[in-house]
Amino acid sequence: MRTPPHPAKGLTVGVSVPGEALAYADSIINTIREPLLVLDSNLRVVSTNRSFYTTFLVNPEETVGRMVYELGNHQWDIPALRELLERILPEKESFSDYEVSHAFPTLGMRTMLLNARQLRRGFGLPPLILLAIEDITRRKRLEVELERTLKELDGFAYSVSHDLKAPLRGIGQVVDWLQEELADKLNDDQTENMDLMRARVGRMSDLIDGLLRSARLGRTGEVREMVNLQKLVADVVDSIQPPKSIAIEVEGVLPTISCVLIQIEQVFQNLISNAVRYMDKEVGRVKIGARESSFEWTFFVEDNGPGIPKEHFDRIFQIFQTLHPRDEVESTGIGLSIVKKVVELHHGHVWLESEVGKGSTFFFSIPKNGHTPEGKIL
Amino acid sequence: MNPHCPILLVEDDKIDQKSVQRAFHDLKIANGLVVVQNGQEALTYLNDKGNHTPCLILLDLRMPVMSGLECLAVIKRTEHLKRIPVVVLTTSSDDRDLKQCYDLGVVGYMVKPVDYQKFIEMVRTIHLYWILSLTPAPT
Repeated sequence: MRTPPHPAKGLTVGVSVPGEALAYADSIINTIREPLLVLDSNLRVVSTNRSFYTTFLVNPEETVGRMVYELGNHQWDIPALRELLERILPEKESFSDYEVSHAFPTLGMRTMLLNARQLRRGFGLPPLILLAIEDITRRKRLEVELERTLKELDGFAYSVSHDLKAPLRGIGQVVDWLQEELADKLNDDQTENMDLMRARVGRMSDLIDGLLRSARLGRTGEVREMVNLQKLVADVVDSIQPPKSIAIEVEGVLPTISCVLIQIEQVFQNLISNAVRYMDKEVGRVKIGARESSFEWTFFVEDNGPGIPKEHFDRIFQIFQTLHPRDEVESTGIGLSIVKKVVELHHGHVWLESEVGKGSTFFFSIPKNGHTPEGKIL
Repeated sequence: MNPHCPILLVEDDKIDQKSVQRAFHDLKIANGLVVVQNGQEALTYLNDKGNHTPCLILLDLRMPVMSGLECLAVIKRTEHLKRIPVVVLTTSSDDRDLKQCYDLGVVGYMVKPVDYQKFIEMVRTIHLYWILSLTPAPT
């Protein structure tokens, strides 16, 4: 007798004979890598798969027909498992990602993730219970180690930056004192040398700060929140305090978006202060704005500064790259690499358009909450 | 604070020592400044009956031989030293250091600014405060 094909979710395979369906299911069950248990409503094992035997080092004779708690010499007599099977599952059809930690006599301490589901059957038969087990012991251990390593790295980065800056402070102070005491005794060249020394000290201090900031980006646990960019940019411009010769305006109203506040603040801080710092025109204009598409926001910072030659477009986003001799414009060369890193952490892109002599526009995109430009859900 | 009693500076960094000395000089502070290199030397100075008891101790935290915290703990356990006000003068703004210092009974915790002008202001403020505030006479 032919049975019509069962429209199982996602599995539309033409199966014409009941035996074939069973053999089909059996092959799948015994090939998948997760241990599976099928229990009856009295919590006795109806069937299990090869993976269960190999993972928990038991054999079929000891398993089928036994109470689940008796398996492997009462290895599975776990309070958390009882909780799942006797209290939670009767109230729900299924339950996923149930975590159980247990010291197995033969296997040692293991952490497992369980999915449990009631399998309804027809013809008045009582439901079966399906248990899928994933051993996440190793993953958990790696997560703990990763967290610890990142914390150590943080502490390390902080104390390195602190200890590296200490002698710099000392040098800066002594240079100040010398300049003060020798003010009228130094010629122009010597005064310039003192200034150069002080500037180098400041630069090194900035470099250390920049490196520390850059190293800290991408730590998991950074919180995304709704940020009012109109206000953020206004605050950033305030803190930059541009000279009177440079006008900074915002086109339209900037949106409120989901992002990591201190990171996006850093992006606007770097782009706007760059526009101000490199301005070469008597009347400077910096314009900030946003464009909206269905899946992303694109922000721009436009200036009428010196512009950047096309051949440098890629290079400038690399760390420590500067375009001007470092004694003309004080720059660490880290700013844009941080902009790139932050934007990419938000799954966006950064790019620029520029014409030498006329000005530059830096663009960066931030996908709207939940999407990447390729349509992937975040 | 008696203008004739010395102020004890416990600090190992030569430039940091000089900056305090310089600030005292620029501010024309009357109190003498005694400088020691670490916690051990501070205790030696404080326990020597031949020395004037300082009316204020400026304490750095990170020092070799004996750190600021260790020295502070000993001072606060010693009957004839424990009432001398101790102000921590350090580069570290570490929260743990802050808590431990206050647990041990410091009366102030100042983070040294990088800028020398700001540093002078800080020293001036500390000095003015302790000129006004009374401290018990040394036992």
